[in-house]
Amino acid sequence: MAATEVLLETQNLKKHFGGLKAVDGVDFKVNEGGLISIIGPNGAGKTTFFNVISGTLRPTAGKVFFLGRGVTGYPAHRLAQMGLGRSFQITNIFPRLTVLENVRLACQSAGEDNFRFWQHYRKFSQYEEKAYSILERVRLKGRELQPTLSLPHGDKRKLEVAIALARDPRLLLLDEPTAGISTEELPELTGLIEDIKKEGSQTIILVEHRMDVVTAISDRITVFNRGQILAEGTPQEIMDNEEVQKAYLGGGGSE
Amino acid sequence: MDAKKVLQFFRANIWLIILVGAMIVYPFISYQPYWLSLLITIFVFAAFALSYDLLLGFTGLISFGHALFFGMGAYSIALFGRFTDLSFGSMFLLLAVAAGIIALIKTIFAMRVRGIYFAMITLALAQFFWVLVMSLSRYTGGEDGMPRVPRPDFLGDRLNFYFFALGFLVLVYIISRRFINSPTGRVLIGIRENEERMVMLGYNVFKYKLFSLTLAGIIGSFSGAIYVMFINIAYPALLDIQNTIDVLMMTIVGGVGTLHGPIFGAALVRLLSHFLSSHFRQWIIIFGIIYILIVVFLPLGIFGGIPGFSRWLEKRGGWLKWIAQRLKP
Repeated sequence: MAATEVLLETQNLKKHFGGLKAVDGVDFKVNEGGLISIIGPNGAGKTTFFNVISGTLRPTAGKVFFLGRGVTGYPAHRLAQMGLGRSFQITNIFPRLTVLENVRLACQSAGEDNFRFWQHYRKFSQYEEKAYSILERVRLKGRELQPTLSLPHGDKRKLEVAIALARDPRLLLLDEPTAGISTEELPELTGLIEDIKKEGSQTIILVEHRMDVVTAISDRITVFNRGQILAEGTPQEIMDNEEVQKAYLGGGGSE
Repeated sequence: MDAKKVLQFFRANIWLIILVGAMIVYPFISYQPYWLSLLITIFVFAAFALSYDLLLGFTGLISFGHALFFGMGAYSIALFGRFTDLSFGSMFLLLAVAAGIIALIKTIFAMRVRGIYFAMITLALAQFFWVLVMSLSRYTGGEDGMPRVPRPDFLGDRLNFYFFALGFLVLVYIISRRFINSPTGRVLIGIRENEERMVMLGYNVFKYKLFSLTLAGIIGSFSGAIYVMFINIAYPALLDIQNTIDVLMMTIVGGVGTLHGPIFGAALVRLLSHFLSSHFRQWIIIFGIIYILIVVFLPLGIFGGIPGFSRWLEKRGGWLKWIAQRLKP
């Protein structure tokens, strides 16, 4: 019954910063498989929600379950080891290392050789091979030995996804992978996300601002507003939802 | 080992081999005790600077208290020698354990505070030990230091000590080089570049910082131990901030984030201060000017030129600026 297994669940999850209730009582459930989008106006708490479920921030209250285990307050590196991968809204890579080394380091993290401190790292070629294959998967083939700093923005965004993919996470959190991407580059990146979805080894939660992207590739959509879930449903249901329209039109604008 | 591999090794390490070879041959060509002594201190401080660079250049940890390890090594040998009958092997073993404990304490702080705050805590920790040494003068001799540091008999001969110190430096260099090119070393470089991302990749940063600090601590404290064995007295200045500044300067002048940089930096700083102090009374001013010129015109350090990487760094104003950025709260 792998297809219906609950991968991630939050119960009454809260994250308050002083008086600001960034996440305020969220009950959220993700079953294995497919792609779920989280949308909402700016400041709705989407990124904070990601930070809490990925272990970067401790919740103020509430519970998080991942793979059926209570993981509330787990440090981020343990959640990553359990199979939670994450990309960032603001490109968060290793700027002075090569593209290959960015992904190779990510691949190495899943292995058993991290505390080998005597042999040369290139002797552990399995990580390098894996990195090559992932770079091919995210369409960065040919860029491997380039310093990351000199990559065009679109390629940096792909690399961001590549790093998140490297550990073969069960759950992949993509925080606005298309941030700052031009309209011309957009199909390439959305195509990439669709490919990952089609391959089917990852369940994806996507935070995204562009409605056209979201409606095209999501199986389900959750709408956040003021730290709470406003609506949840298939893309069509969300499009037709009056409350959602109100929040978007009346609540600080869309993007 | 086939011939091709041997040849390849020689070609890749040609400068290292020439340099070490020259150092081995040197005392047989010109045996001058004065120069031999100077070279011994250079070897020891080069190893010390290398250990500092493992933190600064390869893990991205800025410590203002690295002299603590050096001074700890110095006083441990002096104290062991005076109050125990331990063999030298067990002295160094105990010293390594002590360095590990200090490294653990520093790592715990490093996980909680960053940048300038971590630097200040390491400074405070070193100063604490400095005060301890000063106030326990019944055992440590206070300001006067502890003369008559024990050393193995074969090190009583200056030439032997020369080769011992050279061997120590070469060993430290080889260990450091293997270490930074190993999977673990690559993780440290990743932490230097982007710690947050390493955490999200499942790396337990604590363990790696502990590893790096422990290794740097062991090398640093062994350097201090060997140094006092040579100069035959342990004194409080080995523990104080000036010693840390010296090692920081050696690393920056030579080239942060390289292995040969700190070695040449140590040689340059030691030679310069030796030369200047014997010719000018106010030599420290001249030294300061030279240091400023190096930082301004060679922001990567004299030997810090890694292609591509150095261009990136140059655009950002060199290591000093990089350090300044990191120190920002």
